[in-house]
Amino acid sequence: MTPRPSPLYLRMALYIGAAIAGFVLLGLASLVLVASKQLESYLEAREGNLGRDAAQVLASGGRPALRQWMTTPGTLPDGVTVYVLDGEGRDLGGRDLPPQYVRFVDRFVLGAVRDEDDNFRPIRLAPLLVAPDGQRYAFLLLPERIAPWGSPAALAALTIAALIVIAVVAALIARAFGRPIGDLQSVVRALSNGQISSRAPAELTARRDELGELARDFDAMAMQIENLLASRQQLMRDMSHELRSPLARLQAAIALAERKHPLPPAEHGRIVAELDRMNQAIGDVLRLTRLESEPIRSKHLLKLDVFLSDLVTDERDEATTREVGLVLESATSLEVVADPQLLRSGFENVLRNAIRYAPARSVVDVNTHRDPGNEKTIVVTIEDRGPGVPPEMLERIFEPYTRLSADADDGQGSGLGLAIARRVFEAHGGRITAEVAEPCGLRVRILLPAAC
Amino acid sequence: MTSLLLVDDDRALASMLGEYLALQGFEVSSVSSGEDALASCQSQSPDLIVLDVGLPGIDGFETLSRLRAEYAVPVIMLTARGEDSDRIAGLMAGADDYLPKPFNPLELAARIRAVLKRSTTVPAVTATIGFGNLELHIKRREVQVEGRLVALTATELRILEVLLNRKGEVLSRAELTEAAVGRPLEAYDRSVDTLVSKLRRKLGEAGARGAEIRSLRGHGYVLDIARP
Repeated sequence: MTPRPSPLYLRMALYIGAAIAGFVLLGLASLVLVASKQLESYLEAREGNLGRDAAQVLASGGRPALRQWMTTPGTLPDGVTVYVLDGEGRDLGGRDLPPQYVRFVDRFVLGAVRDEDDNFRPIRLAPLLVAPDGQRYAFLLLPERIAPWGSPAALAALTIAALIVIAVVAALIARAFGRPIGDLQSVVRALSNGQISSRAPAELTARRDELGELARDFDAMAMQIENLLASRQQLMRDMSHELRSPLARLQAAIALAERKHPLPPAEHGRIVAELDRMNQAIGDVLRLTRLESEPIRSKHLLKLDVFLSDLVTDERDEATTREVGLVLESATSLEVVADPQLLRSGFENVLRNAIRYAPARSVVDVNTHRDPGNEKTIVVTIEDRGPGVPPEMLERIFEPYTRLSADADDGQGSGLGLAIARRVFEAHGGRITAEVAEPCGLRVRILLPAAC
Repeated sequence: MTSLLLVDDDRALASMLGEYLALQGFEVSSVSSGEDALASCQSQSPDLIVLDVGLPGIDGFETLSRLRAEYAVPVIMLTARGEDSDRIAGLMAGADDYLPKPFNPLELAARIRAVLKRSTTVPAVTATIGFGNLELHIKRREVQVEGRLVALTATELRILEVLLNRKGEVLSRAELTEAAVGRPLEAYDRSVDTLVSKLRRKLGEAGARGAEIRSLRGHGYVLDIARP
């Protein structure tokens, strides 16, 4: 089956064909115009008495006068040239005869001039002029060579006209392709920026060419992605729910068992801790899923120094247990608009991560300041003196379940902490990056837009 | 003995919780649907109800609102729908407490005791809200700064009330209009700005201290309480 001729292809062919045709027609028209004008003036000149005029000039002023007469611009009408040739075909004006005339002139004109001593006289096609000394010349009236670009003004006009034609066609092509492609591009960008319900505008999908087809295909794809994401989120929610029900039963059973026959404290503690951890892991999966799909709802004006000092106070117990110091250096009067719970979980995850990897008797530094390069951005750095992260892994630590090494799994954390943190800060219009700290350790930089 | 009604369609969990709570000294009966809960509430009048959100038939929220329509019994809700605590907090408005599943039964027992203790003491009705030297009398619809009355229009007072009730929370102009004027933000969308600036000026002239109505570009308005 042959593919059906596509409107876009046809349109493109039409535009480019029209451009070429327009250009050719313009050239032809100017050629015909110039040529017919020259031909007209040549024919007019032939009707006149130029030959007789030339003979009079020769008779009265001799060769110099004739030479002057025939070579001075203005004496002859436009579009004609006069050659005055002697028997050898030399022009009185010293010019060379255009090569295409040489043979013709030699055969049919010069014979009469030479007056050779035989009994043959070829047809004389040109008048003869006789100088006072009896020397004979052929008077040859020729049309000037047709040169459409001969005049600079004509050339300029033609160039401008050609440029206009090209510009119009180019603009048409750009409009026909550029605008819909630009529209589609902005939709694709919106989609890739997470606005998952973005669709191509109606005037694009209504088109009946390839671009319309592309837009419809894009919409179908976006719909597919949206459905996939929605069903994935539904699956996550259902799964977490299904996992939590047995977990709840397990907890009830353990509490009941503990009431009836007390378990050894170590084992009991271990079971309870692992149950908590599992519950935490399920909660983290849910939180991450939700952060990926839902905008933040609750917005509060938060003073970052107070907010972070509350957080640091709450984490101090854990840090003290690990013999890690927590130092908060916070500029005052820094404010953000944020969902307090989400923002807290974001900072908490980064801070706990730092405390977990910090060696004993080291310090975790939390520093907050306005970005010196941009007044509207607040920078929070959280820096530890732990083993750090190899440079090639700095990006990946914000992806879910990234483990740097097998022994880094100390049985804590769900593997989603930093992924959640990234989503939290991105949801608030911010960013989180990690870098290698000096002399060792990891520095996490969090950028947040300042409230104003 | 304190009687509890346990409403959960997870029968295995309910029976274990029942047994556990019985060991803690409660008299426990359990049902597995909202309809049954309403019925046994009438016949047994329990001292407290533990109500699961995800019930078949009428769900936990609906059961809660029907219970609330007739009985003053304290209710603790069990949620298993994930971590969406904001949304749940809103829906839980009628409940006395809530506990996300899974939970340690010890925690549930502690919450039950706390709620029972609280419900026996009469809750203080808040007659005024305010900040610093400003007081808003909710019933009398008047605002005083250091005891002197501030002349506010009804709409200005409502705006102040909304901002006071949601201190620190950033309200978009649409939200504030909706909450204070009772109609959605429309073409006359500068009016809320005018109202806020008038309110601000009046409070400033009255000498109100301790908080500030701030406008945050791109977000809206917030009542910013100065920290002591």
